[in-house]
Parts: sequence; C-alpha cells; structure tokens
Amino acid sequence: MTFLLAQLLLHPERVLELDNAQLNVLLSQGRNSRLLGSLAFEMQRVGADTQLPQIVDRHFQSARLIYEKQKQDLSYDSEKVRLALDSVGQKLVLLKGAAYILGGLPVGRGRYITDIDIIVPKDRIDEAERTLIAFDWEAADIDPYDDHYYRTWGHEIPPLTNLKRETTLDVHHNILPPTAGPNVDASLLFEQLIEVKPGIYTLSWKDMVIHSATHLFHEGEFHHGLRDLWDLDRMLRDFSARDPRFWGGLLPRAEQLQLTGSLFHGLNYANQVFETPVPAHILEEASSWSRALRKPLMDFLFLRALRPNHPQSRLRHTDLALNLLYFRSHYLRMPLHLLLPHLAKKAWMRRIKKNGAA
Amino acid sequence: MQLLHHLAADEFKERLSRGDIPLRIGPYVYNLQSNVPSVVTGIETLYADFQLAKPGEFIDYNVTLECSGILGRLRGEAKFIFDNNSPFDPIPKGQAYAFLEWGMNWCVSLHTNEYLKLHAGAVSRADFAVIMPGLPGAGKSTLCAALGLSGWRVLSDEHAMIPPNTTEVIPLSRPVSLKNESIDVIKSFSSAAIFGPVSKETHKGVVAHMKADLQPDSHDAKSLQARAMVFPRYSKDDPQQLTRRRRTDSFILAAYHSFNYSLLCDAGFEAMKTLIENVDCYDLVYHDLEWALMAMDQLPELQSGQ
Amino acid sequence: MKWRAHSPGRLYDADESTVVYFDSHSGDTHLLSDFAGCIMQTLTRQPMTTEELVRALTPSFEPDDTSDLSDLVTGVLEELVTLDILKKT
Repeated sequence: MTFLLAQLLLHPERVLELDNAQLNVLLSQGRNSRLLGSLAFEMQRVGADTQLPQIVDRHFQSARLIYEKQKQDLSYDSEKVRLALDSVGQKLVLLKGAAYILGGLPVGRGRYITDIDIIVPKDRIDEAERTLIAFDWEAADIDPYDDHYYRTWGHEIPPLTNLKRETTLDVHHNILPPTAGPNVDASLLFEQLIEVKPGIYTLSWKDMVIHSATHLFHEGEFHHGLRDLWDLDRMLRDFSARDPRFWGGLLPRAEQLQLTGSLFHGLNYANQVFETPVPAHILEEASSWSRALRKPLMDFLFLRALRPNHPQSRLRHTDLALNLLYFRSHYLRMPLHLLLPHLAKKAWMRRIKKNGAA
Repeated sequence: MQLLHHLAADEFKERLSRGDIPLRIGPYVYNLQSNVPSVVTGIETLYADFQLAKPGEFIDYNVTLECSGILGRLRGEAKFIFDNNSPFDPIPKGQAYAFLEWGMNWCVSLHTNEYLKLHAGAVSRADFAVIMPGLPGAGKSTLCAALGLSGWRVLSDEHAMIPPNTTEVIPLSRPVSLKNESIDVIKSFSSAAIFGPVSKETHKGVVAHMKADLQPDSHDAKSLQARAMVFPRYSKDDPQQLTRRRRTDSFILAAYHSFNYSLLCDAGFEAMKTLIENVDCYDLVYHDLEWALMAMDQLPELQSGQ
Repeated sequence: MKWRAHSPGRLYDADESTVVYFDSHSGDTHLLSDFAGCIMQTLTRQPMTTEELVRALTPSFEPDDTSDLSDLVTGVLEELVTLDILKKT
C-alpha cells in the first residue's frame, strides 16, 4: 500500500529524491487530501524544505502560512466560545482538529480545520445553543428538513456561524448519533477530560483515538478519509510513546464505549496505509470484533476510498466504492426505514435547487 | 525560447488534448489541458506569445477544461479540473473559456502566498508602475484594456503581486477580462483589440477576454517599482478628476480588496505599510476613456513635480 | 481598574487625521481617529487607569481643550473595548 503522499508523509526527507514531475504529483495529492499543511511541517521538521528550490518550496511555505493563520484564528475564536459557555457554567470541550491544535499535539502540526467542533452534555445543549446565539453566533440558514435531521437524528445542532469572523461552530452532544446501532454513553467521555489550556478541555487520549476512528468509519466523508487515517497514525504513535499504559487501556475503553468495530478498522487501516506500529496482539484481539467474512469486502471498500483522489493513486472502481461507503455510513447512522426517505428527499432537494438557479 | 505559436496547429491541439502545454505565466508554470473547441481556439489566440516551459521543468498548476463523459457531452457540459478535483459545478460549454480564465485566477488567488496579493490591475510605462485596485463595477478592467492598447504594459488585470517589504510589482500578465458593455467600448476604442471566445449567460453576464501582451517587453519577468496607486471609478455623472487621496484610507481599501492581506497577519500589515508609505495614492473619476488615459499619462510628471 | 491593549499591535501613522491599527490578537485591521491611535500607542507601552491616560495625553492638547478630555477619553476607550482592541482589567 504505497503511493507518493503516504510515502512522503512517513519519510519526508525523500522529497529531495523526487524529480519535478513527482513533486507536482505530490503537491497535487497533498492539496487534494487536505494534507499539504501536515506534509509541509513534516518536511520542515527534518529540514528538507530549505534544500528545495524556492519555486517548489513556496508551495509548502504557503501551506504552513495558511495553517498558522488558522491556528491564530482558532485561539481567538475558541476563547470567545469559552467565555460564552463559561457564562452559564459550561466547559469548553474541543473535538478533532481544534483539540489537536490547541492541545499542542504532534498530530495538530499543519492540520487544517474547517470548523470548530465542541461537545456539550446532551441535557445542556439547548442552553449552550441559546448562550452562543446571545454571544454573536448565528444559527445556520438551512432548510427545515436538514434542521430536523440534525436535531432529531443527528448528534449535533445545526452549525452556528460567527458572521464577522466567518467561523463555523459545530456543537455536538455525542460522538455518534443516537439512531446508530452502538449506543455511546457520552457521559463516560466527560469523566476523563484533559485540561489543555486554562478552561479548555479535550477528550482523553484513548477517547480521541476512538473518536477519530469512529468519525472516519461512520461519517461517510471519505474525501477526508486519508487525512483522518493520518490523524490516527500520528496519535497512536505519539500516545503509545508517551504513555506506557496506552495500548493496554485502549481496547477495554472501546468496549466500554461500544465502539469496537470502528476502532478495529482504524487500527487495521492505519497499520496498512501508514505502517502504524500496532502491537500484533492488539490487532489480533481487535480483529475478533470484525466478522472475518466481511473483511475482504471492507478492504476493497476502504482501501480504495482512502487514497487521494488523484489518477496516479486512484484505483479502478473507486467511484463505486465511494458510493457504497456513503450508503454504508448512512446505514450505520440510521435504521434502514428512516434512511431511505432521507436520501430520497436530499436528492429531490438538490434537483429543485439546480433548476431554480438555471 | 519556444513560444506557443511556434507549435504547428496540429501539434498544439494534440498536446493540449493530452495535457502537455506548460505555459510560463508570470512567476508560475501552468500546464493546460482541454478538448473543448472554444477553449482550444481561445488559448491559441490569447496565449500565442506566451513561453512554453521546457520539458521536465517544475509545473505549479495543472488545469483541465474538458467535456466530461458521454452524459456531459450530451448535455453540453464541461468540467474544470484542478488537482484532479472539480471545484465548480458542471459548466455549460458556451461558458467554458470564461471558466478556464476564472479557474486560472483561482489557482493564484488561493494557493500562493509568497507575495502580498492585491485584487488589482497593474500597468507600467517606462519604469513607472501603477497599481489599480479593482473595486467592483469601477471599470478597472476597461481602463486596463485601454491602457494596454495605448502603449502601456499590462502587468496584470487581476493580481497585483508585491514581494513583502518592497514596493515592487511582479508581472503576471494574462488576457484582460471584460464584461457586457465594456466589450463593445473596447472594440470601438481600438480595432487592434484581439478577443478570445465570448461566453454568454455567465453569472457576470457576457464575458470576453482581450489579448493584453502587446508590448515588446510584455513577457519580461523582471519586477517593476510601483510609484502610484490609482483607484479608478467610472461615473457617467460625476466630474472627471484625478485627485490625491489619503494614505490611511487607501491602505484600508487596498487591504480589504486583497486576497491574502489577512492571511499574512503581521507580515501583511508591514507589507502594505511599506507599499503605501512609498506610493502616492489617487482617485481617478472618469467617464471618457481618452480623458482617463491622458490623466494616467500625466502621473509620472505629477510625481516628479512634487 | 486599568485599560490594557490585547496585543502589542502595529500602527501606521501617515500624519493624517486617521491611523491604521493592526491588532495581532484578533487579526483585525482598524481605521482609527488619530486621537484613538494616540491612546492605543500610549496603552501599548503600558496599561493605565483613565486618570493616568488623561495625564499622559494632556501635553498634546491646548489648555482650553482639556476640560472635557476625561469624558472624551472614556468614550473612545469604551469604543475600543467593543472593537476588542482593549480590555478592562
């Protein structure tokens, strides 16, 4: 399982061995997968960037600049969110990219984010929404069907936007929707929070890894698939190096949260794509959670979807694979009888909008 | 040095269809690919005097404008592809050329940050470069086109690129984009104007592009010193005038109409400050193109007189 | 209670009636009156109370004008707080 971007992320010093055509492909794959920032920081870490010709390096410099600006904006915006939540005695608990960056984790270096994701207790989400709106965050102008979907079947309220800052805030109350099979007790997450800055919290390391794996394999947003897998790889390497008890606690925690299937897939595919050193006994134990018969199909689906969307790395049948995965992810989130009307309605709405614009 | 028009017509079409037309455009190399007839003709006409990069040279941006699949062909739709992504919805073939140009703008607008990038035209005569921020509806492109037809060099119609902490402008010359009435205005202004394909019913109305590399030094890569910043404003009713304007609000307006002023944070502020401190800023209100050209011609004397 | 700038900030003063102020804390750029710019420059050097600020600014103004300087200063300071360039500590 090798393609240029994955190889270079793992061995950034090899960028000096690439010819111009390969460099062009690498930049293209990097932009495509939203990993150019991460790659640019890896190259800087090993000092490879200063040895590249300026006409090439300016693209990596640009990627790092974009990340730095994002990080500054994130610091500012998250402080505003913290103040708003604090006014009603709620904690700011960050998820995903925002957590990695403000948590100062290696996985956060160069990581691009589009929104700020936070989680609040389900019984306090209305209060959180009201408070944020009072503090200059606005509810999204989305059609009532999508609004209903978010609130009834999703695990988040519709996105809030700060119009002046153009920042989007996604407020979750769980890391999986209630209509999905596994029933996650979100209160367990709140029991093990880490305070990374005064008043700013993230999930525990194990929970961050489990959430990342869950997000990847349940959300259906595969254009970020490779990026999410890289997140997993970075976190697994970092956390296992810094915490000798990390591996021992990971599977039991996944069982406690009832998210073992996703975690297995995450460990397995990170290991296949990024050579993540997952201890053999862990992989073995985790694989018992995934029914053996389904594995070849899962491999076909996931390995194809996780490559960058670039001719040089896209295998045949990728579009089919992506469509199947999209369907699978929706299926995982909602029982079938609820699923079909939802998908059908969305397609109908798309067509109407298109005609309306013509 | 090989220029696009040195290629035989058949070789050009074949290479373009396969994606082997690497053009040097300002400090970047764009590799073009297209099988849409209007786009092929447009590139052949408007980029005839652009340099081809040598084989094996580093390519910054791969840009494709193609008819997509059987359904796409039946529906008369084309796709713009950058980095093997289609950021835009399928495009009616009649607008394909406009989307090629917008797409090429988009590459620079989003992805390059080694310069402070203003949304502005830039023109020069002798060693005197003028930056013209493009407030919407102000007639910046019309003025750029007229200047380009009157002995001025068009450094750029869309992106004024300034290396930080300098007052230099980096040439990034491409065809000037004109809309609706401006197309006829420029056609009447000079019969020497050469246009590419006309795109109708775009979200901006009718769009066409004018060949703007008409000077012997149009493709010189050297940067030039900016000496003035002119904010043009077309107005049928207001009296025509060229007047000095304050630096601090010119700063704000230029920053507002910049692609990456905010992105560059402190460095952006310093870059804009260095620029504005060292160029004189003007408002140019006009309704008569000839008058506007005369006013622009007087700028170097106005400056040295101070 | 002192007034404090959120960040060191950068100022472009072209000897006009307005100045450009860049606030690195928010990433925002503002066009301020030269009076507000003067206040920002003073507070960037060190946080001050309203009285200390008025005393620091008084030398720049003709004696006749300083009678309501304190009110003027407070008004501007409150505005700068809404712009999130300053905070009260």
